[in-house]
Amino acid sequence: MKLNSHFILIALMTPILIIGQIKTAQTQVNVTIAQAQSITITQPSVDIQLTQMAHYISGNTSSVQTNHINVGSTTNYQVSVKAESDFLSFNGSNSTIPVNTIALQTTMGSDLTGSNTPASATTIITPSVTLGSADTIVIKNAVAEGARGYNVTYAIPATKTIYYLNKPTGTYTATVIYTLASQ
Amino acid sequence: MKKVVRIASFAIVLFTGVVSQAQTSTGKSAATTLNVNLDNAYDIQIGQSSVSIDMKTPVHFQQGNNSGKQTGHVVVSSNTGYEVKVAAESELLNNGTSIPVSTVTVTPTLGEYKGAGTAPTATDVTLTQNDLAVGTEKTIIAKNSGETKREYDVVYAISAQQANQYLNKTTGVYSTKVTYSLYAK
Repeated sequence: MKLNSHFILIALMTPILIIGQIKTAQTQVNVTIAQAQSITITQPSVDIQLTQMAHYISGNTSSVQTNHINVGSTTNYQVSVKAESDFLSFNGSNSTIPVNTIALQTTMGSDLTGSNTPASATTIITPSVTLGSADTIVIKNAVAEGARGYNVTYAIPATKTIYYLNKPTGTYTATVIYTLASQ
Repeated sequence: MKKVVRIASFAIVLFTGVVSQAQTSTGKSAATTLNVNLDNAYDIQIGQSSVSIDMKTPVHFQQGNNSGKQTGHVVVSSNTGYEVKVAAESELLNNGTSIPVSTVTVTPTLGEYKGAGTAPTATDVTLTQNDLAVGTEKTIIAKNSGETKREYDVVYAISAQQANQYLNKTTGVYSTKVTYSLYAK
């Protein structure tokens, strides 16, 4: 007898549950994960001095531009560099000094998220890249990073200072463009 | 605490995502202006601090003598065309006895290029033999284009015609200081 009463109770409850389900409502939660990338250059202007004979003899570099390239990417990424022109500009027009007299020396910089995230083990940096008007890849990383800095030094090597001889004195400029893309 | 920090970094990723939504699929770009500041620079070095001409034998007094080639005697670096001028500080002196310094000629020849990279052209150089003069600078090298670490070899000579000026003098060392000056051309 006791067994039977238990069975009845269970049987009664089941219809109640079914009735309750009729009144449920649903919503769909969408999480949109978009590919997000950003690149900024920390120093808008960088100087190399060729003002002493030692500079002409041995070449010279800019100071180290700390975290010059600042990259954020939700995907793997690569950074390439190019100059706007094959020649340095002087007084608003092209000079005869080729931009490939300047090399870009890149090293790992800091984590800029504030979380001290260590540098990705998959990062490949080309330590020295000669500037030109065609894009050359400087950095490749197989994983995403929140905000990663890379240090850059611009260098005129001793073998290239000859291009700066017998030129009017003054400031020669190049616009250097960095492009971030997914791999 | 660590968890809080990680959340903060994730928030940055989301923020940058919002910023970059308007970008094209080819990637983002950012630029910097690179300035190369060029100024004139000049340097001149002398390879040998002391040079001797012997007048010791009858042949020397008959035919003259020279110092032998002083290799890399004058080393010039200049970012523009240049001239090198030479002058003597005094006549050749030995305890108050003097011999005219104009009895000594300076003959430069093109030496090695010790700068970096390929040697620049040297077809635009003019080399001139000159007698030394006290206080008067005489041009011995003129070059239309600049270069770094260009060496010139130099011979100091007493000609046969001048050798007799060394006769009837007290023996000893007669000396003067010779100064080379570099000028932009």
